[in-house]
Amino acid sequence: MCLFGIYSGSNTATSPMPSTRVAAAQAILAQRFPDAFPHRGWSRGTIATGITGLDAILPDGGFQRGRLAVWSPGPGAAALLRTTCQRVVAEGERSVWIDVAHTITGACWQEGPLLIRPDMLVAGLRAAEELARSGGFALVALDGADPDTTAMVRLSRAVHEGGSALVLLTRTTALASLRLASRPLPAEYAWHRSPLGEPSSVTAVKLRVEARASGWFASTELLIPVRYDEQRLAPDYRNPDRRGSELRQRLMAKR
Amino acid sequence: MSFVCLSGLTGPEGPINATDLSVALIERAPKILVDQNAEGPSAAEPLLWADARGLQSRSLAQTLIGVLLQQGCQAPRAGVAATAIAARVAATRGTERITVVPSGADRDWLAPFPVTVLDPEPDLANLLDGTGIESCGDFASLDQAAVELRFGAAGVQCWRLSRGDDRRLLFGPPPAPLPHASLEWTDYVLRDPERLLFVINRLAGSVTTSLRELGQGAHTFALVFSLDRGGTVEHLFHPSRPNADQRTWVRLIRDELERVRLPDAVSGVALRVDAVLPSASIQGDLLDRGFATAQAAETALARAIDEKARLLSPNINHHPLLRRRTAWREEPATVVWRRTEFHGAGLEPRLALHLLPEPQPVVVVTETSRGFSAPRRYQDRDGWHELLEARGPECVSGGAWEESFALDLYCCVRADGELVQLARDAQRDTWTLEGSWR
Repeated sequence: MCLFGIYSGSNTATSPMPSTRVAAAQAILAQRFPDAFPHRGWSRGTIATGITGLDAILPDGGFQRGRLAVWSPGPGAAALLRTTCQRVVAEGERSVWIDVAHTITGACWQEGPLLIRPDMLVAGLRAAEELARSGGFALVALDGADPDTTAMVRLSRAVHEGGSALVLLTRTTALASLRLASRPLPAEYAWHRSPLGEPSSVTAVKLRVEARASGWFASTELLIPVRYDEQRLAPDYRNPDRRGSELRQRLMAKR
Repeated sequence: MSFVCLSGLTGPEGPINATDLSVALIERAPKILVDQNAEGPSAAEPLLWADARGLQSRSLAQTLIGVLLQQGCQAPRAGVAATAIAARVAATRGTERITVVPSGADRDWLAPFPVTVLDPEPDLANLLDGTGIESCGDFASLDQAAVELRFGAAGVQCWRLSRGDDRRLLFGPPPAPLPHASLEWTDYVLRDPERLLFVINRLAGSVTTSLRELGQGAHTFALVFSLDRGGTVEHLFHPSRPNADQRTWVRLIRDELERVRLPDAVSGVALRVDAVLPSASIQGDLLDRGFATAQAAETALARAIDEKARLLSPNINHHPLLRRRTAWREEPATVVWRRTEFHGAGLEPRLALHLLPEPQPVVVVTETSRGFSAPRRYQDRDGWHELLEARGPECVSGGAWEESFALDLYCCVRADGELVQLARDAQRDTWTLEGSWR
């Protein structure tokens, strides 16, 4: 039997439930339901990425709650983190992606995680701090910001108070308990070949992902498919499709 | 006398909008009520009510009749009585322009009128008709127990009206004034508004505490600076959701103070709530694992939105250009209460194209391939990048009716393994870096 966590139900109109009352409520529950044990999965533990190879190289099998992790931006980092956000939502928790650089397109964004676009870097850092501290989000991803050491201290403190996992896609590594880097291995990319046998497009990229923490180093290689957006060609009479036009002109000139 | 009822709100070209008339009347009476569903001499004609408590009723009625005549009403009539039912019957059935029912004589005055003036329900009207009760006087002379036994609760209610016992409260108590706080000083003046932050913080604490006691949150509040040479400067604030959180208020105000430049020295500051909404709770889903923390998440999101961040969700359209294919829709902080169902889809990682906010101009070295100038290397802010492969072009053109475009899009694999999208503007023959797969 498992007890749900006791929630104070604080809002703007009421003050949070004092800890003494929470302790008293827990004592009553323990007396009435001796077989029950507190459910602590919401506020502690790790957040698994859902990608077996990646979870295997992360300490405790995922991103630790209440800790700050940084992922050096590069191919695959955003894709793997996006998937983790999706998985968090699939597990019934909440995740948020803070897109400071405004690079996310609607085509690649899937419903589930919340997407926040700050108007400036400072607003992005403040948003990350607020959301991480609130405890309402299991995973907060901050993309496109390179915070200074002071900001990292604030973020680290906020995430420790809130119990969320905060992952920054940044090259700033100060105060991070976990540092990740993904490096592409172009020689091992999977290619789609044309009818003539020439490589025409990359269908999957191979990445080497390295995880470093205090007294911890592990790496793995992952093959990640590439998603191409559907091109909607819209030729009109003023801007016609010029595919092969130069070749056609040369042929016409030869004749 | 308590009530003035006005009828005959018809002009030469038909009924006049009662709401428009009420705007003109409110200048002469403390409270005006539009009764759109009232049964006037004609069923579609509305009535207007004026609160005459504490006023000279006849004088007020004369004033209001004058206003109605000015507004174009042809034959306005007024009924003045201590009870609403008597005032209404006086306005709709009276023979004079102003009919005043003597104080304490409402029952006797109503007695000769048929019971239909009491507006009984059709079933009750049939019963009364079948019983032979024709006038209000006949009905009022009955015993309450007998009425309740034969005609039920609706009959008793109608019976009370026939006795001039109208318990309706047409005009409720005036709304409580919205909280506000202010401070003025005379010994000195301030020019730097940021130095007022301490004072504003205390004012915000007072106002937000009052709001919380009322169980409400501010939808709009205003910060007013009193200038030394007279006049005021007002700044309006619209929090992302109604709230009475001092911290949020002060943060919004602080951001505003960083930008504000006052035309004169300040000798006072006031904080005023302009619009409030109740601090209602949203019903959540008990089976949602995130339900317990939804309130905290919503509060944090609202703060983030107040910090000049936007919570967005995409609306995909069919524009040929990926850059213009998404229209972002702003969402409120309450979306955290929404439960998202997943069925395993979308849980596989995939590299997707992230577009730069603006295309970045690059220098490209090309070579001809199948009639096109395909890129071989390009130079951006970080230097030169060799390309292993360039797939394309995807020729996209259009926008004849707005801003025409013609782009050759190439998906390129850099030597370091990164996938980037380069675009050649066929109209200007320039190259740009559109984004990268991440």
